[in-house]
Amino acid sequence: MDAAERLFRTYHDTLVRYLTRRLGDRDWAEEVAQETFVRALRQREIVNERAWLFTVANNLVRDEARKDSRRRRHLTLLREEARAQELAEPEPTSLERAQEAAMARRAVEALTERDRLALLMREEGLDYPEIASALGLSVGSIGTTLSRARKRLVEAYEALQRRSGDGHAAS
Amino acid sequence: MQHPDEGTIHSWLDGALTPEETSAIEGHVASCAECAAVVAEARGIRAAATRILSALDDVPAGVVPTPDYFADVRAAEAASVAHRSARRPLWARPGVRAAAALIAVGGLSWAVLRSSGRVSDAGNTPMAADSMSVGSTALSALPVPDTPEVERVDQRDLAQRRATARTTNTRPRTNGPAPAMKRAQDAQSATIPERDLRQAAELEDRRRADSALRLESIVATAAPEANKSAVAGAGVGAAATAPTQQPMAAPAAPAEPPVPRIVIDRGYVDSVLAADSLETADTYLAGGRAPAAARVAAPQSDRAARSETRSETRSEARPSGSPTMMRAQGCWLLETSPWSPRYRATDTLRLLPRRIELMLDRGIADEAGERLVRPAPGEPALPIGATGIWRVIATNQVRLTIATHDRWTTVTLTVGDDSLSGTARAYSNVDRLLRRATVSARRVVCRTEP
Repeated sequence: MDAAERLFRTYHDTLVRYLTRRLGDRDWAEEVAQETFVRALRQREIVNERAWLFTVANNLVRDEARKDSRRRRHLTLLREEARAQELAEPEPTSLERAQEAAMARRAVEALTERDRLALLMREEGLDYPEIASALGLSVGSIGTTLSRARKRLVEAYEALQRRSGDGHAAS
Repeated sequence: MQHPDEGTIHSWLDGALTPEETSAIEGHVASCAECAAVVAEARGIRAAATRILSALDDVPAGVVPTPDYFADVRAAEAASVAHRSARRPLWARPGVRAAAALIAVGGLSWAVLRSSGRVSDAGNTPMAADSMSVGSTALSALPVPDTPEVERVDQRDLAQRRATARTTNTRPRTNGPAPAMKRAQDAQSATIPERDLRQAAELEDRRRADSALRLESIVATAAPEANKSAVAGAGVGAAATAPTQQPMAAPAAPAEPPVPRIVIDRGYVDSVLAADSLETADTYLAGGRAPAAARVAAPQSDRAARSETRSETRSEARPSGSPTMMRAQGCWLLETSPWSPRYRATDTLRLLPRRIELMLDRGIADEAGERLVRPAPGEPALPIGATGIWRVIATNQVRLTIATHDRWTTVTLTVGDDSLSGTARAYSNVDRLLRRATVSARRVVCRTEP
């Protein structure tokens, strides 16, 4: 198994899942992951592969976000069309799942950028030094960051659930 | 020891403390009821956060490439190297391309695995039975060697792309015995009805267009020489009916890339492949004949006739299409059931006009065989900034998408004789809530535009 293959095998799934959770868009996540791996292959030496990959992926997302918004909108449209097809079957569960995912998405977006990234990276198994390295934080602050992020995420989600329940009761 | 703060407790639960710190906190929590409660709460929050985040996943867990997957990639790459190595510049050395292809096919395989996973999930419900059978047929029927399309596009790039798509497409989602499954699928494809084969071929075309663009967008830009041939390859397919595709594609090809660079340009690749795949889909259906021949047989309204006349004078728009497209184009009166869940009374922007016109005109972006849809003449216009597109997605099936910047409605419709029926789905960009309604439509005469 050569280096490229090993790198890809080891980190592709986790990187795509991280990016999908972060971006809410698997196609975009896969594009960013692909670009990240290509950059990794150009790199002569990487000391901490996982931290390096997540850092580069974070930077790519940031760069991407600056790009032409009009073009982005159009791609979003195309992607959602594809997603609509995915959601076509089976209908009842996909509706519930879509609502759950929507609430989770909003809860995640209620976090600050730093909390969100730290939490998502932790969920992908990055250790504290890796998260600290990727975000430019001190290792000692990661525990506090994560505890705050988790708490806020759960609180935001529960608030959305309550609101959603109220909405159903009213209608 | 002082009471540990929440950050320390989370660090402990995450296993991020040193052994000394760990034993200190363990000892303290064992003897401090207050801290034990905080720890219990932290555990709950930790688990809840993980569960909430997992709701964001539409990536199936545990999908890993199988060992022969890399063998496939290498074989494809070796064939390509043998073909090109004589005239390859430095920056397009095998290592670079192998890496790009490896990753591209990885993404491709991922997407395909995901879609096959979806098919099998969908099979759990009776209503999905049709789509499941078509889907699995599509997988089994992928190796169709003697298609008209292959004859037309005699490009090694395309053949290679097909080969890799085939190997990844037939792979089961789990790490099962891939070759055995492939053999079984091959055997199955020998006995399935021709109609299914055609449907499968069409599905495969759509899938190929989608997956090929991943490969192409990477390989093409990592090796501009390959890019040129790939563009030419797609262009050959389109050239017979769409000579204007070529100039449109040309500017997107990188002129002088000194360094291999990924340009994920779905729009460009889509537009090159779209004409090819769209025409091919219905060329299959028409028994391999040119789409023009199929068009004559398709029922046409006055509107279609007028559009075709117009097409001769507006070559850049090329308003013609597949039989399904020709049957679906025109004006329709939609009858939409109440949306479920229902819209709030305050939410008036529903993005589904009562009367619509499916036009043969291409959109400005001209992505993936899209044509324009708009409210029929006389209907209120869409909100400023809204766009409407439609396209053929399968035999006798079209999909409309009407969108503004923050919400959209898609309508998937089966095309009958002067009728349409199907399902509408409404999305909000903000919270992605999904609403659904059933839609039927009957053909109406397009009013004369003022």
